[in-house]
Amino acid sequence: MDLPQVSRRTLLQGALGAGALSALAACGGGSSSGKSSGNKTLVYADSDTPPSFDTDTGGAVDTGESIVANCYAGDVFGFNKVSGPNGVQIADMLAKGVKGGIAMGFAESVDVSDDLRTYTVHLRSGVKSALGNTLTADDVVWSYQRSLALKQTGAFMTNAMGITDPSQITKLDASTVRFSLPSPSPIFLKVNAAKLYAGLFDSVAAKAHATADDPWARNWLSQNTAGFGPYTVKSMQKGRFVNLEANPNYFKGAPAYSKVVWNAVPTSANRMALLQGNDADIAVKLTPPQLKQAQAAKLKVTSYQANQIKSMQLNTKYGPLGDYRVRQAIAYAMPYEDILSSVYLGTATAVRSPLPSSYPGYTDEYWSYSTNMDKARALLRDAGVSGFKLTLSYETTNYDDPLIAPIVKAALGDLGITVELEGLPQATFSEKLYSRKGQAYLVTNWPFVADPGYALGVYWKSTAFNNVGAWSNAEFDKLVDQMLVEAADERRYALAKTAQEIYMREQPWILLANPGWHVAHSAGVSGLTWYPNNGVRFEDIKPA
Amino acid sequence: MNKVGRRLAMLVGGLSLLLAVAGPWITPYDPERPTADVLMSPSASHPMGTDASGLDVFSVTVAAYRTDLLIALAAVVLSLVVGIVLGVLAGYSFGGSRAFGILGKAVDRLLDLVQSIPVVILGLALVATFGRGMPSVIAAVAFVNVPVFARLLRSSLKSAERGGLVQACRSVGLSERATLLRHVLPNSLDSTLANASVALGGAILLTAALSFLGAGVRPPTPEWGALISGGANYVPTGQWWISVFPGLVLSLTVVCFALAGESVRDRLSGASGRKRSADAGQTDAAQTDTDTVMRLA
Amino acid sequence: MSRLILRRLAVLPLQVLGVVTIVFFLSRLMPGDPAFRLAGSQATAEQVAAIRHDLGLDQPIWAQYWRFLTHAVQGDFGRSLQTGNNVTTDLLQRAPATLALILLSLVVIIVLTLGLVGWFLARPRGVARRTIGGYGFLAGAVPDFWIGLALISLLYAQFGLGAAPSGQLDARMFVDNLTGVAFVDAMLAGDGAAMGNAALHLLLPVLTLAIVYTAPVVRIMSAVSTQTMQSDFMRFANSWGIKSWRRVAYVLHHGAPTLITALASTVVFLLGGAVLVETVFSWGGLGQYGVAAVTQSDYAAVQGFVIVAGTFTAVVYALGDVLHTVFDPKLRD
Repeated sequence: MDLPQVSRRTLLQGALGAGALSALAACGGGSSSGKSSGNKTLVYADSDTPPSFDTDTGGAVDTGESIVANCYAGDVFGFNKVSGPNGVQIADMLAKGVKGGIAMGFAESVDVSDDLRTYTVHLRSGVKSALGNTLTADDVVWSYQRSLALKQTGAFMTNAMGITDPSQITKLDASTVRFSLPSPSPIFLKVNAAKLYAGLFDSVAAKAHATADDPWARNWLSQNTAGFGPYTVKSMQKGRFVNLEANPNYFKGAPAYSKVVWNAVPTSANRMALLQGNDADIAVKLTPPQLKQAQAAKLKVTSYQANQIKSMQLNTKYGPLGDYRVRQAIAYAMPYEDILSSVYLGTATAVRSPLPSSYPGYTDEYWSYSTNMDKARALLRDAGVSGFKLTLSYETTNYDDPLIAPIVKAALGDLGITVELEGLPQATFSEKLYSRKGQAYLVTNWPFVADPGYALGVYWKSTAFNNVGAWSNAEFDKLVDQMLVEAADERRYALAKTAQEIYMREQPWILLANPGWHVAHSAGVSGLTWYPNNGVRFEDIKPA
Repeated sequence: MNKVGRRLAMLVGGLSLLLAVAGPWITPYDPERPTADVLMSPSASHPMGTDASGLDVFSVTVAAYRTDLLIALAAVVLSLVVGIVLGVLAGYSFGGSRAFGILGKAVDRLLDLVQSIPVVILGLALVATFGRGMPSVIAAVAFVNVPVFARLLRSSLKSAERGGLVQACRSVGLSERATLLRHVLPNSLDSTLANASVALGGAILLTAALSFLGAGVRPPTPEWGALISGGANYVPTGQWWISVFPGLVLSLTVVCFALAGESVRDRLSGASGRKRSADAGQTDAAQTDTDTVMRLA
Repeated sequence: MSRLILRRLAVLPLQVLGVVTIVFFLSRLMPGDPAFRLAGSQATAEQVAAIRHDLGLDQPIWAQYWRFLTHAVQGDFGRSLQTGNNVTTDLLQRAPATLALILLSLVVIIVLTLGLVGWFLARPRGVARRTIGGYGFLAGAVPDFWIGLALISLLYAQFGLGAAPSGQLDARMFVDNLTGVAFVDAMLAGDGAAMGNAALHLLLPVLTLAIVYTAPVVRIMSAVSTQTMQSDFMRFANSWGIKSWRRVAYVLHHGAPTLITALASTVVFLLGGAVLVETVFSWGGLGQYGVAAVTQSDYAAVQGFVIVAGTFTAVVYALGDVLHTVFDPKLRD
């Protein structure tokens, strides 16, 4: 066993504590200090606590998704883990077939009909929630009814599974549920595995907190968790901390850490300081200089160039941006290499397609936009545009956007486009983005489902909620619709190739970089695994 | 502080004002154009280093001088004008008019009320009300400063009325208006105007504080508080220069304004202090001192 | 004297009423319809109308004012958007942390003031005078948040003094949250290590506040002491050849009412300073809550926060005035 490291601070701390205690004539404790290696508490530092534990209604907020991943273990199904680049554990995104890469999770098995329209789920027996209730078909039915009734984020993902009406979900017996879809869906299981909105609720516990005004227990579930996953929320104070405790009944057995303290530390510098002072085991959302520093110190950084795309999203309804040649000109003017080197210090990679390179169906064949100012000017001339004003909105709390914005401004300035920068706080930015009132925005996106039909449709189909630039292309829409029902992988990927070709010609969003998934942690923990939501699942983590 | 110190402060203050005005022609780099030289420590080519966008910290700090000074000047002028109006209402008797007496009391109470909320909190509430951006910050900083000016003028006017000047004017049959505008007000504005310099320093501090808290001017407008806040994230990784230099320049500027204000006040009290009765003069000075000293903090 | 005190206390409710009134009218000055803001961008016209009715926004302004007032008196400021809790619950949860910061800083400021003024009185000329003067000027000019950052990078990052700027206690040290003040909670739990840790977390924020806010008190006290030293009664006492420690005691006694007034103002400034210092140190008190409310446009929380701050200030000033009356011999019956 290693000797516990004694720092100047620990000594000072002990001395202060002892002094204070002797004054009280109480016995000198100190055993409760969590720094010894035998303790099973994991300290996790994030930028905030979740605004709500109920992502079904709380909107797509990454902290809320993490809670669902950890307390509900997602929905029915999960992901198989494989070894990725540099030996990093990742969820399997490239496996083919309807069940490819899918772990059974709360299901014992699933029967898929040949026409891909009926999915019959046989639930695992003896799965118990943290509150002690056993998982039944009623919990599944209630959870889906809830998502559909509340018509928010949960319903969005439920619709993506092909379910729009409660009548499509039938309880066959206490442990069997059938999902009936109107059209074939090759991605039903993949969407379910990535669904971090609502998860499966312990409906017995939730119903006990429902009222006439609040039949779906929204109030209670926003402040409490009632899941069958590895952890449960013990206590929390918004903006300060969440205390998670292992679910003693978890069907995979108790996770290595019996307690997790989720510490809300708004500035990345302070999260870094906690990690360096051994006051946190894991810190997320660190800046590239901090990641470099963590590597230089004896800390570890687990990275995976996963599924993120940082882009400048253009409002195609704003003046000259409606012309694809103007958008192409902007794409040619972007100093991609400068952004990768000076903003991300080499921690990000280039993006060559609207599909993440780690997803099936990806091709970089149509990329031609290496920085070229002459081409950019020629395109603007062709379009008959001599220069215009453009407001670029971004979120000031993000690390990278305030650094990318002036680079974009300078580059477009050389092209005669006058860029006005508008840094906004998070709430104001989201409002502007989704009201589609802006002209251009810097945003990071990551499609949850490793399927070209989903990943391309969720942002660029003309009817998509996330299509904030209101770009619309009938051929692209048709290709997405075909992909969503096409059973054969190879044919789906061929459709995806054509869709990427259209995208690269049209450039609705200018693709800037893949910032990547980077989690800094002490050498004392291992097992961090990447999932498509880019969060951290504590059940994977073990003392090194 | 001795005389030499004050001269030095005036010199530094004058130089930095020059820098604010001539900034764009003096600074070595474009404060808006990022370069590939990111996070460089201070050197001969970048005396204050560079930040995470590769901007020269010196150039950005000088550019921010304009923002902060503009806000502070606009806010102080605005609050001076409003403060003088309210100060007259609160402090001058208008020949014992009853209506004005009641109005004066009401103004006095209102000023009390506004002053009872800590300036940073009041500023935050005002920016929350009017939205972020330069006009809101100017309005907020001005609002916070109005009571100070109004109070200073009020007490000068009160002591002027107790003194002989007003009676003298009235006894020769001058109208109330003429008495106030031509004789009383010009003779009572000393301490109010002297405070303007101190208030400029306070206004810069408040502007920076609001921006630091994320409730100031809109990014990426260069502003000291925003620069300090942005640089704070790099302090633990060793890039201290991004927030340390703007902080030093800010502090130096505020000290200069405070010293200038003090020296102006000393001169004024040297010249006019003898005119007033000893008693009134002393209370006045004590009150002014408490107000300004405490407000600076 | 007691009549003076009663009269002063009678004004207090009026001042609080004034603060509530100001906050109400400020909230009506906000651009846009609060119902739209609350409903969010996805809301339908019916949802907005329902919210407007719930908030009483369809009523005349005086009725709205009355409603706001009666709700405020009952401590009901509405629901916070950022936490989903009742604003009053949020404020009560966070107030003790801020109060602890303010009171501890006040104690340090008093000790420092007495020390510095004593030094100044013992040696009225020379080094003491110049040091105090210079310190007063600098502390008034350097932003408190910058001092906080400087202390973190210098003392914590370089020398390991104090604790990481992450609230009141290391995340690993968990004590039951009974009072909202980690140090007191640790004491109640009898956890020595946690107490020591909480003390370390208090070190830098308190130091920051003390450095900035001791200066004005010292300046005023040394000015008053100088006046007292030159007064007739001190000259008389000096002519009797009293000992220097008695001289200091006389002067301090004479300056007590001024000190009380200055300290009352200091407590109010500390509340303002706490807003900044809490943000720097992620303290998790009222100030940080208020700042988050402003940046996230959480209007109910902003209103509650400003009303609580204004009430706190009014109470502190009233208390200061009462104590001033008690200590000032000229105002005794």
